[in-house]
Order: sequence, then structure tokens, then C-alpha cells
Amino acid sequence: MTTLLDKFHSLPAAVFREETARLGIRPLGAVTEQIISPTEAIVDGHRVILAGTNNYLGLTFEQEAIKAAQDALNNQGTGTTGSRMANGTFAEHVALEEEMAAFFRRKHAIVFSTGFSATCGVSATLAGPEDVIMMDSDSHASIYDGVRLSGAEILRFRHSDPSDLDKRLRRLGDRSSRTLVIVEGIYSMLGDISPLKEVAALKEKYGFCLMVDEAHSMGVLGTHGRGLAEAMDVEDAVDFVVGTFSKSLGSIGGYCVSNCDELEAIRFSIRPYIFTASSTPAMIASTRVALRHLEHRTELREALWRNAAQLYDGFEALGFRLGPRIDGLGDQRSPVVAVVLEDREFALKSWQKLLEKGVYVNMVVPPASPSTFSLLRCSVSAAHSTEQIQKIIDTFDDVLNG
Amino acid sequence: MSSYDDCLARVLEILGPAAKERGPIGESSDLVADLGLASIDVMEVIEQIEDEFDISFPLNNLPDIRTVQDMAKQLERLTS
Repeated sequence: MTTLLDKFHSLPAAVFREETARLGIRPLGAVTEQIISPTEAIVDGHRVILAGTNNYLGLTFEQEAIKAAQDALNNQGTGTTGSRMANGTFAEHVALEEEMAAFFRRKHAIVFSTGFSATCGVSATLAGPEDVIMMDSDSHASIYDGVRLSGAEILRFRHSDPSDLDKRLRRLGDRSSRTLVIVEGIYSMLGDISPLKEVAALKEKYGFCLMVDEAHSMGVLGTHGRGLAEAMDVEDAVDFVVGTFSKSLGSIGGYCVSNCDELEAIRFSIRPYIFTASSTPAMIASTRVALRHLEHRTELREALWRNAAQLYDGFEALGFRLGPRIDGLGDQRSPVVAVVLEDREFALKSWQKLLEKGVYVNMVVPPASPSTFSLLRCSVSAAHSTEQIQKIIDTFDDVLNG
Repeated sequence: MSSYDDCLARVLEILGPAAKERGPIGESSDLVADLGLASIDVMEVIEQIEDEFDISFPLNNLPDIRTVQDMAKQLERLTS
């Protein structure tokens, strides 16, 4: 007789755990035993350079942010114990929303407790049963989950293919004006960017609403760090920007900003916003400080681009197959540098060797990777030194080519 | 407009190469269990059908497509 729990033994994650246990490695849930700095830690007993933490600007140990969080903890307590709609809106949540709106030069902002709830919640709410959602096929899980909750007709277009998007919008006829198109600034697995200029150009023809997830591009792309839309000078075409505080801002939380006045009505229709406790005072306080650093310390972005270029070019010189190179944005680079490997077992064993030799990266296998291949996914930080980036390159050379 | 039989014939033709190593393919063949297709393979087949018939398969209906027959029915519905 089949039981309720039998299916969990054959799910990809369970199969993967078995496979990695057989190989004696633990890429899922490796334990950080001691965090030393934004770029160093002891992971599963190994002292490593952190090259897979999405800590793009290295702000997790920013002293001013830590002090602000400590003060908030002392003065406002450990948690709000309530939803934003009930008792969980403190003056600081409102202040952060005003600061996020000002930073993005938008009229309205909503702050969420996590990036997942922001992206999932907004995707689930903007379009309803009579509407259409057209999403990039490589969208994040939070978008896939959100659109399923929306009740809208969900269509996906080929990854970063504006001509496929154009074709599918044409097929919709008049319904294209009731369509939400969703793309991401930087795609998290391969580090490639959306062809946002071409996507935005289709708005005139079809009249859809455009939502961009800038989770991996806020603080990273654009002269002021407003993401890919700023870098490509198409901010006016983007109706809703969503993202997270857990990458370039070094805390946890999410946001949606927009010039649409309806956002205030939308706020109280977003279930992941209503039915969850609001961010803790300490998180809000550190995020507010980090936002100021992100905005004003342009040298962090420049260091990030230099480090990303050093890693990408170093890997390329070693002959590795990599995610696409970002072109057309001057010195700007994607901080995500993924080495693509066809042999899954070789990838798994290499991940373990990298760890043992002092480099932590993310191990990505299907279905998390956007193809049948595996990835050794690196993410660069502004806080990495030139020497650390070189050590990452040398260690990869040793492990993959040695 | 395509009849169900036309849709079935075309789906069988398109799936043929993808499933060639898994024995005979018929209307009741399960795409995953019988034909050994991974979800990424199913998506590629669907994209090929979408291009050929100038249609878009909604993701909402994908969980209902388990067999060759399910796929042919969806195609018939979307082209009618």
C-alpha cells in the first residue's frame, strides 16, 4: 500500500541527497561553523574563501549597520509579533518604504519580510483570473509559485528571447493589454541579464505591464545601483520592480516599488504581505543603513565589477565553459560567474575538492540549473581582495584541470 | 482547425525521435514513465508544437498532460 510520505523518497532532492551521501559529500546544507568576515568562514571544518554567498557589496559586517541593528534590538525588542496590516507596522518600516521609493525614484514602495514573499506575493496578485502572465522560462521559483496562485492564464516565453515574447504576445490579440510580463535583471544561476531594452520596446506595440525582479542586480548594475533597468536606461518602461534585501543589502526582506498609484490598494491584496509577521526592528535598521551605503559608496560597485571581471576573465583563460558574458554595459559586470560542467559526478566531486582546498561555491544540479548540465556557481563580492579572487581562480585550475 | 486524429498523428511524429529508444509509442504512452522524457524534454516538444501551430500552451494545463493522448487533446483544443 502506498503511503502519504512515499513520494518524498523519489523526489529530486531526496535522490540527490542519496547520491551525494554515497560520494561522501554534502553540498546541500553545508554548515557554516564560523563566519569570519564577508569573504571568509569555516564551512564543514574547512577554512574557506566564500565565493557563493550573494554578498555582492560585502555589507554584512558594516559596523554602522550592526550598531543600528543593536540599537533597534535594545530599543524596540526582538520582533514585532504581528502583520504589517495589524500591529506590525512600526515607524521604521514606513521610513524604509519612503527611502526605498526615493532610492528607486518611484512614488510608492512596499517592504516585505522576505524577498521570496515579495516576488511570490506580487506575482500572485497583479494578475487575476481574467488576465495573462507571460514569464521568462528561467524565472526564479518564487515567480513560478506566485503565478500559480494568481488564477491567471500562465504562458512562458523562451529564456531572454524577445522575438519569442513578441510572437506569443501577438497570439494573445486584445488580451495583450491585460498581460503581466515578468523578467529578471540578472538571472541567478548563469548570471546573464535580460534583454530589457528589447522587452521594453514591445510595450508600445502590446500595452502590457512589465515587472522586473532586480534581486541580483540591485546595488550591482546601474550607476546608482538601481539595477538593470537603470543600466539600460529603460526605467520608465518598468511598472513594478521587486527584489530582496538579502543580497547587496546583506540582511533579509523584500520590496516592490512602483509609480502606479494602485500599489497602495494592491498592498492589502497581497496575502504573503498580510498573513506574515513584519520584519524585525533590527533587520529594518540594518537595511536602512545598508541602503545608504549602497546608494552613496559607488566605489563598492566599481570594486565588484573589477572583481567579477577578474574572475570571469581568469576562468575564461583557463578554458572553462561559462555563463554568457555581459556586453554593452561598459565596465559593468555580473557578479555571478558559473562554470558549466556536463559530467554531474565530476561536478559533485569537484565541489568537494574546492571546499577542501579552501573555496566555497554553490553546487547546482538539474532541476535547479536551467539545463541538463551542472554548475559550480560563484558569486563575487566587492569585499574580495584581488588575491582572494586569484586564489579562487588557481584553486579551480587545480581542481578542474589538475 | 485540426481534428483529433490529425493532432495525434503529428504528436506521434514529433515524439518519435525523442522516444525512439524506449520501444513502441502509442496513444496511451506515458511521456515520462513509458517514453523516458525528462520535464525539460517535454517542454522542448511542446515548444516545437507551439512554433509549428502558432499557439501557446498555458502552463496551467501542463500537469494534465501525462500521455500522448493528453498532448494531442490539448493541441486539438488550442487549434480549434
